Amino acid sequence: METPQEIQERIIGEITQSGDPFDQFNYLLMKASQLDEMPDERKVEDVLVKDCQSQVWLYLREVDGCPVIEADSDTLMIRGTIQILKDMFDHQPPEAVVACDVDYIKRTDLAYAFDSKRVAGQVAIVGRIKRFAQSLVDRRGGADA
Amino acid sequence: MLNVEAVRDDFPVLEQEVFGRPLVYLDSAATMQMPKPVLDAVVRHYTHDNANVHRGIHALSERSTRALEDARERARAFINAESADEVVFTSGTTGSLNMLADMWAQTMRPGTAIVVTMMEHHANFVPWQQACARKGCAFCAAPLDANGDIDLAAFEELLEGHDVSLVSVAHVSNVLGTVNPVRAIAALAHAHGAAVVVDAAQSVRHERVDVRAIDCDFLAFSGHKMGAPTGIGVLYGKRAMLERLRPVRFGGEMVEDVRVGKTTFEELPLRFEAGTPNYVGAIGLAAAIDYLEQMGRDNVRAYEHELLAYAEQRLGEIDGLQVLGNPQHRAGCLSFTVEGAHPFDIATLADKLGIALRSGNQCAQPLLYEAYDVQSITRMSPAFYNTMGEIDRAVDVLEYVLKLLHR
Repeated sequence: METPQEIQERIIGEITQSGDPFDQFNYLLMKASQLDEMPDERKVEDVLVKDCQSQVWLYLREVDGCPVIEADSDTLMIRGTIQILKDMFDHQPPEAVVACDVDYIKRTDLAYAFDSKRVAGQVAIVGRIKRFAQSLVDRRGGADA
Repeated sequence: MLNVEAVRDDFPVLEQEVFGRPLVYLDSAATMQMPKPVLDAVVRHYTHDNANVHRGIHALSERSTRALEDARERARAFINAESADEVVFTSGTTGSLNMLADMWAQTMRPGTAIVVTMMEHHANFVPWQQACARKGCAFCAAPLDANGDIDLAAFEELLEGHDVSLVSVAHVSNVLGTVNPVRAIAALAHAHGAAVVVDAAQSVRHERVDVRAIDCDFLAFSGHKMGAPTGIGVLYGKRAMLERLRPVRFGGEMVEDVRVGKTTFEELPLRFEAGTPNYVGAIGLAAAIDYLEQMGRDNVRAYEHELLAYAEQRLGEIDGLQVLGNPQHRAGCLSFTVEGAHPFDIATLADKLGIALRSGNQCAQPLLYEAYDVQSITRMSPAFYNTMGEIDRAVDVLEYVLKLLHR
């Protein structure tokens, strides 16, 4: 099984395969199309991560001790980034999620679309996922003890 | 008539490719590009004349001071103020309006009101809202009609229903492009005893901004919306109105005499310019004014109106695209939504194909969220250096991008 870090390296390879920045964004659109749409009734304020341009609704749950992400956004670009995070983190050991350095945006031309505010939005989402993963690690540690 | 190809020679920034495609810059409502004469004026000053202004007993300081005061006179003439003393240099429209709101707040009595409109930029909304909250005053926003014009009947009702001390209104909306009838609004407000502020940030380049014809009490604008550097702007005030106000920013340059027991302030306008002013910005502003005057402001206005009308017509050909508002007069920009496509996605993809648009709420959340019930729009704002061919190119790219987003 690939680790989150290995998946990220593969995704970076796929994104940068084309030198054309436009195609790199097209990749995000392709990823967006893989993400299930969230029913409107689940898009509630409590799970909203908001920045000045887009909205993200984020649920995190545990399946067999591993994190699973359920999320949606009103923008396709952000939906694409959510699918990438799902590819990297869903059903992964929580320790590997916590340890992974998510930097695919700054290592590709996607950085051109993510100014500091939008990067902050991404960082907030990744932060929530990692905190959730850490809580799973902590809980298991407690159970082991 | 403008020779656009010749004009473009003055804007080297436009002659570049982004992401391997020719740049089409359609974000001039956010900031206009600087022409070479402005860049040259700034470099020339730093190269030959730079020194801090006022009270410097040496040649360079004298040259700098003279250039600053000459810029003030050019700004006065540009807006047809009666005296250069009525021209206060600030950091921009936001700086002007915040300073004015802080000064005006000192004169506000509880129970009185301030009226703005629903189309204001946050810079002409929040400072007044906060001043009202501090002083126990009512804060009212005049509604718009279905076309995106100010509902003048509702505006008059607000004036009649409250003890309004001040009305502050945009000359041109930064989202809808609505050109407001500021002269009529000023007359109405004055008839009800209210002072009038005009936010001219979006109008200063393409509309005639004549403070005496409008008969406004205050007017604010930014240099960078008209080809000057960022960080310079103007707060105009009628002498009698400025003399009523006490400074709220203190420091060097603005004082006459300082003792432990008391400080007295300089005459107008220096009493409102605490600290080292952005004199090089002012010199750039003067160069931008000269540049616009040399092109002929009526020529600029006519061509920009033609460009915008063409953009509106071409955008109207795109299925599902809805231009916000249909005001009686539009200038500077237009904003749109497209069913099933988010503005962030549109602007991001268009950018990768060379088209610079702006997406988001444009610092006008009351207008978007409360008047139009939309979260975000895409804005196109051409300037006189754009060509009709660039509008065509932008529309072609939008059609292509929308196909991708809708697939």
